[in-house]
Amino acid sequence: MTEHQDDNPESVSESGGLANAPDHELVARIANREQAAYAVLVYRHTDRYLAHAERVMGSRAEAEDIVQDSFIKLWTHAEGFDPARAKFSTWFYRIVLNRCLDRKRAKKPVALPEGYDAVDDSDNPSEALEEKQSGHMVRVHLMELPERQRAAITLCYFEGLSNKDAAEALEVSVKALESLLIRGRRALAANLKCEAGNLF
Amino acid sequence: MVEQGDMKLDRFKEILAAYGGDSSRWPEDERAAAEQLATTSDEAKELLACAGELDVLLSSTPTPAPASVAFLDKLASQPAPTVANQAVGTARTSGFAFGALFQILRAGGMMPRAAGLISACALGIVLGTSQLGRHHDNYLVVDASENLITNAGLMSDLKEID
Repeated sequence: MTEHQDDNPESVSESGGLANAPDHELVARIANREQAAYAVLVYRHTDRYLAHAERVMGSRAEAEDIVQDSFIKLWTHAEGFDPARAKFSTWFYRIVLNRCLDRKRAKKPVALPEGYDAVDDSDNPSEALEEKQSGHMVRVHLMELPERQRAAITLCYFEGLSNKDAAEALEVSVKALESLLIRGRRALAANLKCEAGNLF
Repeated sequence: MVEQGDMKLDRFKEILAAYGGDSSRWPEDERAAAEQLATTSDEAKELLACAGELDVLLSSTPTPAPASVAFLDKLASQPAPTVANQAVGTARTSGFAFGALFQILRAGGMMPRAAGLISACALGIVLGTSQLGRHHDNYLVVDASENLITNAGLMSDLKEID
């Protein structure tokens, strides 16, 4: 970045102007190989895609690899983005998600999340309950869900995407998204044996 | 858009099962009708109370840490050098392959013979292509092979090997 700014002093002032540019404009500039526009998008969006990839993959290291690959894809295929057809955020979720799913397919069985230790079957019911209710345990059960169900829950619940955007990112209909969500949440509720299981 | 009062309990159940108890996650075009049902129907109220439990559990999962500055900087400075590096990497790989071949040939004392073979190949191609208009393809192959073998002085070598 610094190297490129030094090479082209204009890009420094230009990147200041780019900071407020909408995503689709930045992508159009990236298609013209403007690295300053690329850097703005990276700083603007990396956190959310990294979090999403980490939730789907259960590993920070893999999430970083995936986000890095996805941004390279953005650099090399920016011209493939059509703002008339999709929002940048949805389009890029799809890129990240496809990379997650490809990687998951390539390595079976599914790895447990980083830092996961097998739960000791405790004789103490209160301890067991506490463990069951911890976020750690929920995360473990989330990782046990099929990838697409987990991705659907991640997009709708954690990333706050609308049902239409989430369906688009997953390349399914809204009805199919709801089916993924219902099955995913049902399995989670059953595994966590919470009262919400009564709903299903 | 579902009009208020038009939300059926079955659809309300589906919405809760898919999106949970937080109405901000419900489908936008059904939200108002579903919220109204939740205030007017006792059964809907009960279902809504249950749906919230899984949401609470989900919200207890740890939030992934934000990207480190080092990772962001690496990512932001990456594309141009990466594409350039790939090109350099390919060139280096090719260079390495030719370099390795050169070392092998030199170590085996085969450089003069290799040079002869390369020049013979070149000569064979030139002679062969010059006869394209006069000969059938089958004869061309024979001619080119003869040129290669004769010019490289390999006939005697082949006999020695036999």
